[in-house]
Amino acid sequence: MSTYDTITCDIAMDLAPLYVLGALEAQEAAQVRRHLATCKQTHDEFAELGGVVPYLADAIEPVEPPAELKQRVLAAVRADIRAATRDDRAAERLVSSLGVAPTPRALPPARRPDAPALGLTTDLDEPHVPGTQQSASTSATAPAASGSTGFRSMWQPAMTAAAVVLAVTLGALNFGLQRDASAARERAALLRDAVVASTAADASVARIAGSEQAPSASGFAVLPPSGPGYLVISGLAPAPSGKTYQAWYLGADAPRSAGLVQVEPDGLAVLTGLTTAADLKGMGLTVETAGGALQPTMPIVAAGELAPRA
Amino acid sequence: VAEGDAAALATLYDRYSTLAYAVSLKITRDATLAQDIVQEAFLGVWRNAGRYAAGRGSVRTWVLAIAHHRAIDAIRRRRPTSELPEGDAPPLVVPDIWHEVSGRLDREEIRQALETLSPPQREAIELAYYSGLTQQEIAEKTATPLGTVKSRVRLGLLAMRRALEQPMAMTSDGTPTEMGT
Repeated sequence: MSTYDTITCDIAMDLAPLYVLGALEAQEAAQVRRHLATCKQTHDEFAELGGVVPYLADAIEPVEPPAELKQRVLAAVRADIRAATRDDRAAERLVSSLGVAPTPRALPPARRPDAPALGLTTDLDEPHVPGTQQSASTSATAPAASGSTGFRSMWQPAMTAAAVVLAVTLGALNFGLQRDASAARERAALLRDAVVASTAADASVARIAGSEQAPSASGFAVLPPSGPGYLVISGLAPAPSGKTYQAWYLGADAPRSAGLVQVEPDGLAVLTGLTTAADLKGMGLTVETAGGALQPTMPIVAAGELAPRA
Repeated sequence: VAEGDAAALATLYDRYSTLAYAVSLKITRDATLAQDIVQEAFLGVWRNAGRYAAGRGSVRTWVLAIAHHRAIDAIRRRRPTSELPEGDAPPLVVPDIWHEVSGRLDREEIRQALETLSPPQREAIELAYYSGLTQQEIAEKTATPLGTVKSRVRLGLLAMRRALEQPMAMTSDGTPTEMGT
């Protein structure tokens, strides 16, 4: 059990520089991860030191991979998509897509598909970001999740990751998968489109943050110079009865409505069809009477300022 | 939907495969292995694109973190002396500073930022990031106590951060004092 020994905040801070560079031995790195997942402190030093790390890659001379690699990657993706439609990985994928950032307070921790202790195979590729609001919510739920499911490798060796997810999902969810798989799949596709759009060099991007009214809300808006823009916000509570969320274009003049925003039971809202304008400064979200309003009712529950994407 | 997904991934591939491949190749020095890593990294991106949406950093840093993690994982597995990485270990931290530092820095500016570090600081960071050495291996290779390795890396990363945040100040500090090349 020594692998799962806990470490103190001081030791975690001491190990931070080597952790962010990937220079710890596996056991120490695991201790740090476990500490970050359970610690109440924000541990900003990980973001402070680690923020530099991606830029180390930019000092490397670029090397084009062989042209056939692209075809290989795309063929692998297509095979993955085909497989997803016929075996239980579809369930796993759907759950991952649905679980963008569930509101921890509203949902039992064990159903969080991105809780590290569930040991999903897909967690391999989930970047861990300490010191952000998202990680704070992870911290809040991870211990409970590990308590209820245990570490897969130790306690559930025979259960595949997908089976674990499915069991947890069916036990704790009453939406999405069972109710309307095609809608969930559509939303996952929409999210992917939004993510891709956010990487375009000429798109304007706003980081959306929640105000006091919606402290766990976060997300982004992306507005390409042409084509549809997207607003993606996670961590939203359901709109109160008789109310709706409404998105607004914020600019030099009075705010203009960008449309009503439907929040799914997992706290995620995706709005598409946004259009950019020359004087557009940012995007905001308010709570309005069902049907929407012509002008936003204060306070703004989440907002972000647009910046050109370099 | 399937074709749309593949097209979306193709876009991401066009934007980031060169960087991901360069990192993988630098660390593994093995073209075949590096290609496998890039393929795995993009598959991972596709499988998790939905979860990225919480806005945890740029897609670019995300792709890079996955590629770097997989590359050091691969070379450590080939070293009999090194402890095997955990099979389900998530990749390294991808902190969220792209809005501060943004992607506007070019290679020369990054290299200049690296140049502001003391040679021992730079060496420790390069051995860790570009060669995938663990802290013990860095300590052995440089004949330095572990505690010194840690503080060099810490101070080096902080110095680099300062340099990246103030590229203009860096030019006035660094360029005039340059001696030769």
